[in-house]
Amino acid sequence: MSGLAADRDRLVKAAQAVRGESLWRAAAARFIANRSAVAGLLLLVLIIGFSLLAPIFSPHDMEEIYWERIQIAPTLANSHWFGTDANGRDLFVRVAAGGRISLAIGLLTALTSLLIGVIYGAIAGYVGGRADEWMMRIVDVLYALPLIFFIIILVTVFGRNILLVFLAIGCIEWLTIARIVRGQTIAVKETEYIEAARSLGVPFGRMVLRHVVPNVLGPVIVFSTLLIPTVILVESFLSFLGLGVQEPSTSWGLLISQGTATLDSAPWLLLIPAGFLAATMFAFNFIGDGLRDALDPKAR
Amino acid sequence: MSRFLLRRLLVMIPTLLAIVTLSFFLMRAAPGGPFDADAQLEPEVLQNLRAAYQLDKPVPEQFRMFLSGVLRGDLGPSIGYADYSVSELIAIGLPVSLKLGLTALTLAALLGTSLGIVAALHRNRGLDYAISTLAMTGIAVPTLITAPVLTLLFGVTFKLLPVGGWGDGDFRHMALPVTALVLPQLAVIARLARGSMLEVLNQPYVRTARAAGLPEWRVILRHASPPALIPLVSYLAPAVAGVMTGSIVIEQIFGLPGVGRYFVNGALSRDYPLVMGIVMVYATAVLVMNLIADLLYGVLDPRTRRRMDEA
Repeated sequence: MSGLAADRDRLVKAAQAVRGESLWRAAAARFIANRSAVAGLLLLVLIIGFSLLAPIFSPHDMEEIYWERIQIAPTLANSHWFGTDANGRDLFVRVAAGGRISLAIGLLTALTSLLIGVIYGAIAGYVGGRADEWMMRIVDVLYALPLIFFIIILVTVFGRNILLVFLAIGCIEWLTIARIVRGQTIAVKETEYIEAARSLGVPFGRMVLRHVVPNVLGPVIVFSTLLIPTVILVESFLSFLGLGVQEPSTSWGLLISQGTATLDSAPWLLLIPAGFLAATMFAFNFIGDGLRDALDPKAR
Repeated sequence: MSRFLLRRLLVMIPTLLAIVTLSFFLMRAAPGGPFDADAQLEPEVLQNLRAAYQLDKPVPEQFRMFLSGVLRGDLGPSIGYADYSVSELIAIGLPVSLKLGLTALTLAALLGTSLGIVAALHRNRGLDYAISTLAMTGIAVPTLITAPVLTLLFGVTFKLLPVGGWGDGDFRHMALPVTALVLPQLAVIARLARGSMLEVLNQPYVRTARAAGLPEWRVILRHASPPALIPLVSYLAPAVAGVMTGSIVIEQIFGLPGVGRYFVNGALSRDYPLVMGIVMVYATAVLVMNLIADLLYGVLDPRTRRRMDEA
């Protein structure tokens, strides 16, 4: 009898000695080993750092107009490191200000659609049956809409309130996330741990939030990383058409649009903000690809 | 097959109706009206103008009139472009947008699939990396950067091509807008084709074809490529939507007289009938594209064909 107990104790000890490698830690290791993904992350940190810190280093204010220095090329003189625009405003601080707006919009909107998409998809997938069928039919119909037209109409409806506009975009962009989460949820639903939780009487809301959602997050994280640049692009696109961010506030899209107007006389006004936008797109895409490789269940 | 087609066509009607209803009421909810720009109109003049365009009626009544007009094929008069009907404006703009979009789509499909296949065949070698880098650039650098930068390079610096305008849609005027429009789609298609081709190259039937001693070009062209390219058909509809979106920016930058420009101007000036007309045209185009993609899939892949017959 005591021999059995000793055996059991030894077994328990042995089991405790085996350090399980958490899936997230394994994924993190894979991500760090991916050179282009890490480069993308560094690039993104640099861009965010620039956008936040540039006003500290530059002596200029983004709205200050220098009548005597209109549209000068990038120079060290007077600390106009990126030159000045057609109105004589310093481009260095304006690019940083545009970056803050573009990045904030991207993040906020991606979060909004993430929240809606995950909850909607998880409920549809978990409940199943007729409710699922209807919920997904709605998604199908919305999917068929030419998105950009709706965004343009929404912008005209909400007018100048940029925050509302992007919450609205978030309310549209959640469709793909909802689809992904639903598919994953249906797969997860049949697993033993969900059955165990159900037999313990875990209530519905807690079930979805604590047991289903965390286990379908991998693909969602990947998709969201790619959603942020998409949203930043939509914003640039709208600002470019004169429908997004309005003067005196600015964004990369608006700066690119203004740079396009002075293309032949002041190419730096186009090339510098365009470079920042392109670099941001590259950074997010590299990070997204790296995350996909790191979190892809097939790779395990 | 025909039952499947019929069902899909019937589903399109409520979808289109939902789109039209949503955009109609959203447009009317927007603050401001089409006559705001003409400052200081006499109240009676304004009243007469509103009555002339039926804007004095309650919105649901306007919606009913709009729908019955659409059923008769009448999209109404444009408010912003006086003397033009919406149908006339679309007839002017659509050929330009269509020529631009179809050229871009065809080029993107041809070049994208070829590049993707070539990359897959040279997996993890120089050519593959070069093509993948190109694809990443195409995905990361949006049209609103490529279009002005291309203009700067070829129009301003080297003065090889016109910086804008349509001419009569000749090659020189098309070159830059089409290039800017093609790049992102080409990139996505090349990536998809590469991945799909890599998967097919591992299939037993490809090994069998090789083992049977077929020349390599025949294995690639006859046995590996067709099944590898079938999944790409489902990218057709998103590609069309992408080209439509891109062409709005392109038409603006290059000053091309297409439908996209009318749409943006219409939305800005609250030209309700014009916006509704263009939304309908584009929504129909996307829906029809979706349908064509599904049908093509059925024709190309026998496995889905059987499922459609059962539907």
